[in-house]
Amino acid sequence: MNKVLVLIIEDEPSILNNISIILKISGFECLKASSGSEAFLILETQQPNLILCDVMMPEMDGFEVLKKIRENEKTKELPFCFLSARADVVDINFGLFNGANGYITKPFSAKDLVDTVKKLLPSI
Amino acid sequence: MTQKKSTLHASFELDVSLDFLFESVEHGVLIENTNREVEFMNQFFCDTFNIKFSPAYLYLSNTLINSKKFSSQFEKFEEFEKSLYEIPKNIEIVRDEKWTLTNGTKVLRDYIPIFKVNELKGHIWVFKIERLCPKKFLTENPTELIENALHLLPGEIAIFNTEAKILFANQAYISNNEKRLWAIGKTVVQYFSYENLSNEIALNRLENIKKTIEQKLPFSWEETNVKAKQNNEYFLRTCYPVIKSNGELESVIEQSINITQQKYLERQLNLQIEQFFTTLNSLNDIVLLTDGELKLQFINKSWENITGHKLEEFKGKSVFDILAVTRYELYGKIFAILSGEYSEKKGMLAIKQKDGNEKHLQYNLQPSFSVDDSKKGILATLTDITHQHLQESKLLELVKREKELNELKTAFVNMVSHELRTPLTVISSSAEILDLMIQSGSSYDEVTVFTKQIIDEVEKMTAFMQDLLMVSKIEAGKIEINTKETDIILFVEKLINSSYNPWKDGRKVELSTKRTSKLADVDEKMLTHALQNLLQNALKYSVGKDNPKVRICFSQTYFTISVLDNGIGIPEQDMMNLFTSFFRATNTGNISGTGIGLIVTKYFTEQHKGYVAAKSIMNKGSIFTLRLPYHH
Repeated sequence: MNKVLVLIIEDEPSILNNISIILKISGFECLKASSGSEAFLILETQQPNLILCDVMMPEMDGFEVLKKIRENEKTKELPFCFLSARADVVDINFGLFNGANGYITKPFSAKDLVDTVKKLLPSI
Repeated sequence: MTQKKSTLHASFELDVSLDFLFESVEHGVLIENTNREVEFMNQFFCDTFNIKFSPAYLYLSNTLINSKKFSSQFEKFEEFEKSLYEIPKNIEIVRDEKWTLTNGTKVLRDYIPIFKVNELKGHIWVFKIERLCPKKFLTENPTELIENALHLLPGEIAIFNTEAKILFANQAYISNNEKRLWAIGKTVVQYFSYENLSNEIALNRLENIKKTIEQKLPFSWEETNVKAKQNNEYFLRTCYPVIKSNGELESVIEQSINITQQKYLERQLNLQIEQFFTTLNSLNDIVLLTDGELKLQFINKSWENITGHKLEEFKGKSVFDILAVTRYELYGKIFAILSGEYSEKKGMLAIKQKDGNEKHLQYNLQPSFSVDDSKKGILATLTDITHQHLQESKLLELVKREKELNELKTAFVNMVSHELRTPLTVISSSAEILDLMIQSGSSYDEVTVFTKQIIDEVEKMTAFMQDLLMVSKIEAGKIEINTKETDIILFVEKLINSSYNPWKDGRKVELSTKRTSKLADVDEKMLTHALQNLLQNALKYSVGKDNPKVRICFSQTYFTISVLDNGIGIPEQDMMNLFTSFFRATNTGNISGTGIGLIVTKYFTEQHKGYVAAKSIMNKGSIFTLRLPYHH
């Protein structure tokens, strides 16, 4: 079985790093991007199985990233999950309404993170 | 006529002179024979009763049949015809029987039966016409008539000769006949003295009479209280010159009219007008009235109270000068009323008081008419609604502020949530990783990265909490300044080197100063906070750009510390809210921040009796400058 590749987009370096470690321990491969534009550079060469993306980021925010992902023929079917400090129901619904497949609120436990990622992955 | 005369002679055997006599009298004469046939009728009879036939034509015609021709001239013509028939039956003289013609002329009728030796020979009818003959009377008694007429008039009338002496005075002027006769040839002063009346009034009358004599022009004056019993009576006296056909003065007629009633009414009217104006002046509202040219005719005292301008400043000015407005809306309304398009118009306007303050007035415009000028003017009432207006503005401001506060509260909760959740995420994930690493027997060096992350994030959270508490203290005014003498350049250098050389993205903060350092009394903690906020902002909002710079300048009485960056800048519309709690510029997007930093900086600078200034150009960068005195 091929390793599952997860693209993490997060502007806060410590969080980016920690998520990557947790997922790696759980057996996932990770690609790290500290901004939206960096993520699209990676997507030119790599094909992740899932994207985890922060909402509040400078320059390009999470919603813009999602919009671009959905517009691209190559990535439009990719499972996409928001990671956000905006924990209000309104924010969660807004994210899901805009086409995200999942929404994880900060702070999260390692178990929640891994379970959500597994749940969102297409059954192999 | 010859035939008539002979017949008259034949029937009555009268002398010729009788015929002539009947023709010459100014009475209507009709003579009948016993058969009631016309024996004689004079021309005067025919003229009086409007009979179209000549007397000769009617000779021997039946009177009773002829009566139809003239009885219609009488008011009671049926009665008259009946009397013509009945009276001769009695064969008795009837004198001065009163009849009235339809034209109003009074007629006295005589009936005389004619006898000759106890034998009835005929009837004589005489119609005497009653009429006034003033011309004749006047020619015969001119003075008497005029004098009588003048005596009957209610007003005082006197005629003076060219030497101002009385020629005639009517009964109203001098009631006593003897005194009146005595007064002739005397002056009015002599008469007043004789009557023991006011010399002052007499002299005034004489003066006016003399003026009329000299100038041959009429003069009028008012007089009061000539006689004690005429207390509070008023007279309008006038002297008229009587000019002869050759242009010389013949006499002067002095006449008086009692104008007491008129005066009383005038006084009443003035009193009412005065009361009306007193009422108008006691009103809180401004009332103003213009003429047809829109020039001010009246404005009440409230104008002074409300505007602070003196009424005299606006005499003769137009309504537009008074309301001193450039509101075309008001112009339009005034002309709409003057043209009759509307009968009333309301609205609001603001005018400047003398001291420059603004007053808000509600106006009501109506057309006005003046007695002698049918051209419409404007009647305007203006109510001061400044207080209501202010209350309304305050209320609106409050509602706006309340809305802003609500928005701020939401933004604040979101900000706090974000600022706490981010470090918590790091702490929680680091702790879990640590747990796994410890289970797998990782070395101290491997786990130390995560313990450090936890400690760092806890420090960040603590700092954030302290910031929040500080704002709370600042807003409650609970922070006190505690200064000590400090070397400014050394202090700033130390601050930069401790945290910002380098910053987390590797950039540095460059310090430049042209002069040697100076000492100043500062609260180091406060100044550290104030500068840290500026430095963090400079770095945070210029990611990927050049290093931010700090410049220190020393002048005679103050020094400045400026922080310059090449970042995103601040939108112009946000500049005024820059130092408001929790406010963040509209272009900060997802750059994290609390909206606390600048308010802290401002407060601490002000505690040093200094101030903070900001300049910014969008997408070019910002400069924040602290200007502080050396001592305070």
